[in-house]
Amino acid sequence: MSEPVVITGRSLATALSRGLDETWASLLDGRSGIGAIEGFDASGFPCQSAACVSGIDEQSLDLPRRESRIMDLHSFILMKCATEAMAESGLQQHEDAAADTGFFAAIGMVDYRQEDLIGAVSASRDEQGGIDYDKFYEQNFRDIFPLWPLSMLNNIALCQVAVRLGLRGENTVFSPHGDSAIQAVAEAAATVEEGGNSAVLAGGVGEKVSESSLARGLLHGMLNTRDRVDPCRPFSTDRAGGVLGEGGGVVLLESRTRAEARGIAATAAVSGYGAAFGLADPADATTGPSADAIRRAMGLAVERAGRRPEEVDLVIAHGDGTPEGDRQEWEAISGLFSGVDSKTRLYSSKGALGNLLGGAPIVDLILAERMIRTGLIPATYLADDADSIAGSMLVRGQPLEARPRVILINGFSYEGQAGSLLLEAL
Amino acid sequence: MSRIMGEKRRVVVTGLGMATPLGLSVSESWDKALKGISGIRSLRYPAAEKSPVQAVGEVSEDDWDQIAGRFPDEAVVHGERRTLFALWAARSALDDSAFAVSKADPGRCGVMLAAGAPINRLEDINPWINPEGGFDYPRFGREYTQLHRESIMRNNTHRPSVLVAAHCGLGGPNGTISSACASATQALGLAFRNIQRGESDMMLAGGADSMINPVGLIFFVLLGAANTTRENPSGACRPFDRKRAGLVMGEGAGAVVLEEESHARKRGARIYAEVVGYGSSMDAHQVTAPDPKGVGAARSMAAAVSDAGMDPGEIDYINAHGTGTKLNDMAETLAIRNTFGEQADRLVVNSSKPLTGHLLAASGGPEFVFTTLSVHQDRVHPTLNLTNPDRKCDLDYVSEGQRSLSVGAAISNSFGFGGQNASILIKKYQS
Repeated sequence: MSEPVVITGRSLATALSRGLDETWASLLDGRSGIGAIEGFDASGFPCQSAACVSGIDEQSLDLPRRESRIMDLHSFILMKCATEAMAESGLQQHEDAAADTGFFAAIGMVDYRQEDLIGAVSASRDEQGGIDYDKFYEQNFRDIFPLWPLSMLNNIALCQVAVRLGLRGENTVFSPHGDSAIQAVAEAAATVEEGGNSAVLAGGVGEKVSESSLARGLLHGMLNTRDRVDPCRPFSTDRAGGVLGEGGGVVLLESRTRAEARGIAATAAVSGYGAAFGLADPADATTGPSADAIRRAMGLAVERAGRRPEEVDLVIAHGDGTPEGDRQEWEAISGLFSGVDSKTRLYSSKGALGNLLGGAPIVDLILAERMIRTGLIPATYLADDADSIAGSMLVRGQPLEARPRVILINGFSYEGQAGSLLLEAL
Repeated sequence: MSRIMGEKRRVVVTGLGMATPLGLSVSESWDKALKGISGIRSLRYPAAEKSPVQAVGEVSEDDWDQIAGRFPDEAVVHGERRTLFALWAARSALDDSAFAVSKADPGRCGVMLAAGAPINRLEDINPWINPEGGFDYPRFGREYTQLHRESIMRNNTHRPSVLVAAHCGLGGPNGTISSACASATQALGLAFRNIQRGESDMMLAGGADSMINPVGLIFFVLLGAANTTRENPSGACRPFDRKRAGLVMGEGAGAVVLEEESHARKRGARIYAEVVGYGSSMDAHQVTAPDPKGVGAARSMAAAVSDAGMDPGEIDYINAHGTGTKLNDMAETLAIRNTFGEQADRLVVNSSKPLTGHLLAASGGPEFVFTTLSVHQDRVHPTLNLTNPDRKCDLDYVSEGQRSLSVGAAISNSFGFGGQNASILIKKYQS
C-alpha cells in the first residue's frame, strides 16, 4: 500500500450557500436550492427550474476589471473555491509551495453571453434577415471585445487561478461532465502519490444556467419538463428528470506524511478510483452510462482501494432523477452490493443542489468528508415516502447517524462515461 | 491511491492515424512532411472571401467526402468536422495496430482525446434577435429544437471521445481534455500514465479540432495572434523566422494506439517506439501571453525528461510547439536553451505547423505521430519557410530540408493559450 493521499483544504459553492458550513446545515435541515430561473426570461422553455448560485462575482472576489471581464460564473466559482482551499490548507503563504502545486479541474461547457456577440450579428444582417458574412468579416466582428475569445476557452478559468495563486505544477482541464471531475481527482491523487507535486488541487465546476445550458440539457433529455415543484427526485418511482445546478468545489490533496508534518490532522483519504464507458442505449450516443459500465467503475474503485463491496458504508450516487439514469445506476448498485443486507446506504445530493455536472462529484466529495467527520448522512431530498426504487438503502426522512467510514462517490456523463471514487476515514 | 501494480509498466506506440490538410494516410502525409510539401492553401470555406484570415490548413473536400462515406451514420447525426476527424484518425490507428478489441478485455481499453470546443454559430443567435436588437429568450425557449446539428447546444466537448469509444467498442476509461493548445499532448500523457499505472492495457489517444468556421476565423484575429497573409498561403506560417507573422489555423486529428509493452509483444505487434516520460506545467504569468522567459515551457520539458529517468543530453530531437508567433517561438527557444544548456546546440528542432497549420487543441496529435516516425525511422522533416532566421531563435531548426540522423529519444511540445504546457518523451524501442 502506498501512502494515503488526504484532503487538507476544501471549499465549495452551491445554490444553498456560498460556503460549506451553511450548505451542510441546509442539507441536514432538508432544504433545497432549486427554484425558478431568474437570471433570464425562461418562460418559453419547457423546464423553468434550476439551482442557481448568487453572490459570487468580481466584487465579492475583489477582482480587477481586466481579469473579470473575461470571466463568467464558472470562473468566479473556481477562483473562489481554489483560493479558499489553498488558504484553508495554509499553503498560500508560501510562494515555493504554490509553485510546487498542481491543479486538475473539470470544467463544464463554456457558453457565450448573448451580449458578447449580438451586436456584431445584428449589424451584419442583410435585408432578408440572414447574415451578410462580408459585413461581418470586413468590419462588424471588430465590435466583439478583443479578449472575448479567451473567455470561451475551457481552460482559462484554471489558468486565471494559476496566475493569481502562483501555481506552476502539473495540470489538466477535463470536460464537461461528472465523470471528468472524478478523473480530475484521480489524476490529482496519482500526481501526489507519484511525487509529481507535493500538493495538487482538484476541482470541478458546472455550467452557468443560461439559455444555452438549458437548451443543451433539454436536447440531451436530462431535464424534467413535467414538474414545476420539486422537479428533481432521485430514485423516486415517480421521478421525471433532473434540473441544472450551478456551483462547484475544489479540494487540496497532499500526502498524509506531509500534511502531518505541517500539523494538519486530515480526516479522510482518496483511496480508489474507477472509470468505464458503455452507453445505456448503444444506438444512441446521448444516453448515459449502462448499468454494466457503472458497476465496473464502482467495482474498480472498491478493488483498487483494497476493499470489498460490503465494506462500503455509503454510496453517494450520481442519482440525477432521470428515469433511465437512476434505473441503470440502481441496477448497478443493487448488483454490486447484493447479498449485503443493505448495510450500505445510498444518498443523492441532486434533489437539493441540482445537477452540477462537472462540479457535482467534487461537491459530493467535500460533503462525504463532512459526513465522515460528523458521522451524519443527510436525508435524500424529498425521499420521505415509500416510493423509492432503492428501498431501505436510500437515506430518507431524517439525517442518519451512521458513522460512515468508507464512501463511494459516483459521477457520470450523459454520454456513456461512468466514474467512481472511494473516500475513506483515516 | 493504492495501486495493484507496484512497478510502472512500459508503454509502446503500436498504431498511428491522422486526418489533416496533408491527407488521410499516415505514410503519404509523412512523405509530404519529409519532402516539405505544405497542406496550407487559400481558404475555401463558403462565403468567407472577406475573412481576414485566408491562409489555412483545411482538410480537402475529397478527403472530407471519404471520411463521411466511411462513417455515414455519425456524419448524418452529428456532422461536426472535429468529431468525424477523430473517428477517422482513431479508426486508422486501431487498424494500423492490428489490435483486435474482440480478443482483448474491452474494459481495459480506453480513449483519451483532446477536443476543441463545439461551434459557436452566429445562426444560433440571428433568428432570435428581437426588433429592439436584443435576444428573444422566450421565443428561443419555444424554438430551441430548431438548432442546427453542429450547434454548441447539441454537442458537448466530449462528443469525439464518446463516438470513438462507441465505434471501436472500447469500454475502459474515457476522457476529454480541454486545455487549449496543450490538450492533445496532455491527453497522450495521461493515457500513457493510465497504462503505466495498470488501469488499462490499451488507450486510443490524441486529439481533434476544427475552428474553420465564421467565429473560428476571427477568433485569433481578435487576439492579435492570427496570420492575415493573403499571398502565398503555403509560405504564411514561418516558425522561428524573422518575418513570422502569427499562427495559421489548421484542422484535423491525430490519434495513436498506446499499448502496454508485454501485451504488444505477446501479440507480435509492430512497435514504432516507446513512450517514456511526460510532464506538464503552468506559466502562472498572465493569461493573455506566454511567459517571455519560457519558464513554464522549460519546466514541462524538464519534468518529462525527469519522469523518464533520463538526462537532457540523451534527447536528440524536439518537435517544437513552434506556432510562428513572435512570442511563442522566442520563449520556446529560450526554454529549450535553459533546459538543455550546452546540449541545446546539438539538438535538432523543428515545427510541423507550416505543414498542417496549427491544429489547436488537436495539434499534439499529428505532431506526436511525426515525432514517433522520426524516432522509428531516424529521419526528421524540415521546418518550412525558415529563410530569414531570427537572431534570437538560434537553434538548429532543420531549415534546409529533411535530415537523417540517429533519433534515440525525442520530445513533442504543446503549449496552450492561458499558460498550460505539456511535453511528452518518446524513445527508440528496445525489448
